[in-house]
Amino acid sequence: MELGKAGTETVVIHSVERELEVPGEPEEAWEAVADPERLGDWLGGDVEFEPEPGGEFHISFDDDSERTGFVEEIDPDGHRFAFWWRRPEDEVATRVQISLDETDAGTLVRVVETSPLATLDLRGIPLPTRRMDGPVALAFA
Amino acid sequence: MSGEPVFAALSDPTRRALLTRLSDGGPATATQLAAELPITRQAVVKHLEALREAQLVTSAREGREVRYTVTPEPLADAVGWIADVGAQWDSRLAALQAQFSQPRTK
Repeated sequence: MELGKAGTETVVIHSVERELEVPGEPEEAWEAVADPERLGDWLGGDVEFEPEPGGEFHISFDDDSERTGFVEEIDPDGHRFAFWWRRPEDEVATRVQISLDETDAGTLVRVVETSPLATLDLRGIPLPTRRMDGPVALAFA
Repeated sequence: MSGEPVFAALSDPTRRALLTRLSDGGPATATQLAAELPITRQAVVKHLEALREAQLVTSAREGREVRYTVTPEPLADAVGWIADVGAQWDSRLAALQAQFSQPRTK
């Protein structure tokens, strides 16, 4: 969690990071991460996405909720996958980055979810509503 | 990132209740909080100390009492977001781990 000043707004950058070590080389683990069907298996829903920057990303969770977004980066060789998603009721999208790195015992899967546009005004001035075009504009600026 | 103390502090429902009370109702002393919540003053002090160690509240001595203030509310919101999203990834990564352990049981 970081605090930064952006004009009169105080921007709170929320960030969550998790790691998991799995057996096998990154090439094998990559299938589990980047194949839409297997990605859906561990995210807990049906995943569809176009595997290219800007491609649409959609997941229908098993509890009937859903999130939509887009692919920012997908790099099968470097084992990096980044996408943005938001629930229909959310004003801002969050960024998910999944990366795989080789370790002595196998592969380290690292997930980082960040919401750099979660803007909270400490002065009590209402902020303009941010929509999906906010994060998209930021990601491709 | 010093997430661990924050998660530990927020794992307890009483501490979450205290944090919510301080966030909604403003700064308070342990005596005031004990009067409002169904727990003893000693228990309140213990929980507040855990919240203070996680830097979710700050304390300031006022005479014979100590007044507790929640750290700026947006931070508390962020902490709630981090706890929610963190729990989601914990269960997703547990599911991923299960996928890897199923075909290759050792």
